[in-house]
Amino acid sequence: MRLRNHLLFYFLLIISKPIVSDELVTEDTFIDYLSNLSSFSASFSQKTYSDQTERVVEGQIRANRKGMFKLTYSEPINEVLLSDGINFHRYDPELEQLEIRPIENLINETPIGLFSAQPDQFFELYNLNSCVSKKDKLLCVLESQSKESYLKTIKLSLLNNTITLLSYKDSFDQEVLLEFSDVSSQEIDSKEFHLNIPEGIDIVKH
Amino acid sequence: MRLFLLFTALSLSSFGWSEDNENTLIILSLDGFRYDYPNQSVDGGFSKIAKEGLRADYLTPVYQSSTYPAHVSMATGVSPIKHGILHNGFFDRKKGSFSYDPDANWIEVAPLWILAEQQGIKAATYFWVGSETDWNGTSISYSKAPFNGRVTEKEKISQILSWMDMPEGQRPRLIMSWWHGADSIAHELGPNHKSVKNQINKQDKLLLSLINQIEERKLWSKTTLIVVSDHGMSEITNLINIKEILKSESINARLSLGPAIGHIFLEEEEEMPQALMALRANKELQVYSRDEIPPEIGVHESRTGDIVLTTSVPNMLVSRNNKTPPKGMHGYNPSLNKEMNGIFYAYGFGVANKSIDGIHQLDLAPTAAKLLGIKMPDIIEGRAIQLD
Repeated sequence: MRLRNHLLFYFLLIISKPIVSDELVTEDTFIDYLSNLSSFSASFSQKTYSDQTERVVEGQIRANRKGMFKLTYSEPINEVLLSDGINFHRYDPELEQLEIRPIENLINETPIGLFSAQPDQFFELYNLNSCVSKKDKLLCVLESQSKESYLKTIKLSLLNNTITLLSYKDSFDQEVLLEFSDVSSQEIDSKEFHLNIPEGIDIVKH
Repeated sequence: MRLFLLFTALSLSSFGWSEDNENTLIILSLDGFRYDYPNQSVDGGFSKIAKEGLRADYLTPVYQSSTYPAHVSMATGVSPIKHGILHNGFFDRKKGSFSYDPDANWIEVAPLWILAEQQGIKAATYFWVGSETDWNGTSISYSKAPFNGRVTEKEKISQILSWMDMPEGQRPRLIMSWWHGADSIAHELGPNHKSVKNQINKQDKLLLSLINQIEERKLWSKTTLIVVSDHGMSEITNLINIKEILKSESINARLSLGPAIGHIFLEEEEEMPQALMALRANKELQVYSRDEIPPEIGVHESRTGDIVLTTSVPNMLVSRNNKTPPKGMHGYNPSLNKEMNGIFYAYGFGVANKSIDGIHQLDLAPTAAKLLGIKMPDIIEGRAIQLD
């Protein structure tokens, strides 16, 4: 809770600052960073704040700009979410179930497009509202251009040109904070975006 | 209406207050989970509850046995004709059309979570029909909205446990959550398809997961879990197109059709005899003018049609032809079709290890109220089940 308040305060403080002369520079820095980020992998800790409670789940993320991503959630969620660029797969090894559905508007419902969509495509959906640098940190706020989007705002923190924090409000108006570690931008082979599904799994196609 | 609500609020019946004012009640509703489905799964939550808790042979749903009316009846303890939610969609002569509307103010009797909040008990819902908005100015402490069918049961379990972990004073004592059950897949493939059995197994595993995680927290000494369903499911093979029947007689009417009960609002009252004759020509339909409607359906002042139709399995009322008709359906009269029956299981605080006969869906609200010490209005039709 304290961390969330701290972060919120920090964001508000810097966002409420008057526009500084180097803002355009910082925005360019951020756009360049995203544009050059063809692959992204990291471990993450996802905290969801709701009703004065905090829920934490850890996992790993891999994504590339071909619309592919793989999110592996640890306990208690214990699920793999994967996109091969065409379909979205949700694999639940405990329930022995694989759900497959077209990607559709996923990019509008989650911030995964930051890492998996082409930057041009992403910036058609989100405006870069502000970017402020402080020492070696860069803090940026993106706003959805669509009124229909569940996601209104995505906030990002970069440290030494690496994304370390991402926060947004989900469809229930819950605040979600992702803290990244072991971040890498090394190229990820498309073969990595594949699920090894054991035989006998129940497959549900939507 | 407001005067009526005030009156019912003042004439509360006298359920005793629960002795333990710290207990928590969790109510899960598994959509379309037929009374015999738990028999198809072993070593899951249902087996555990049957071994250590209470299992009713069946739960008789309200008529029409559909998701919206059933969930609101479970939350209010009154039949659809009293709470006003006749089906997932219906027409009201004064207010217009209702179709899966999240606005709780369509409900004409206070739901359980509202009574709880009005009596100082915090409540939480993770998807329950009618809980997304305030009701007549009273709000629920914790609620997830808008409804999103993609939210998994794991996410709901995680949130339920988070609510249970909240400190005293903030923690909701009434938690209600809708789960997917086996409804969608049974509609699509029929209730006896093997994929339905797979889905039953999955829901059963998830139920066990919730039970075990509450066990790990050592909270069963003050937690009661009730697992119910809104309705069962039957195989169907025949669609009856009511619009075509009326069109063939050039009768203009507004149709408000559920799968098993339909309401026809005629544009011209003089066309009543002609409409009745045309509809009665179909032997699969029971056709009633407004003054002939049987008591198990009842009459709602502004939501009952000029003509009411019913049908039974394997038929379904429709207003347009469907290229991929459902293979499974519900809504039928539960006193004539036991496949409409749902489930009732209870476990934990205040629950004995026993098996009981069938219970009625309307009994859920007074049972929950008794467990939490919530006073219910006199108009409720159900009775509290003896769990201990």
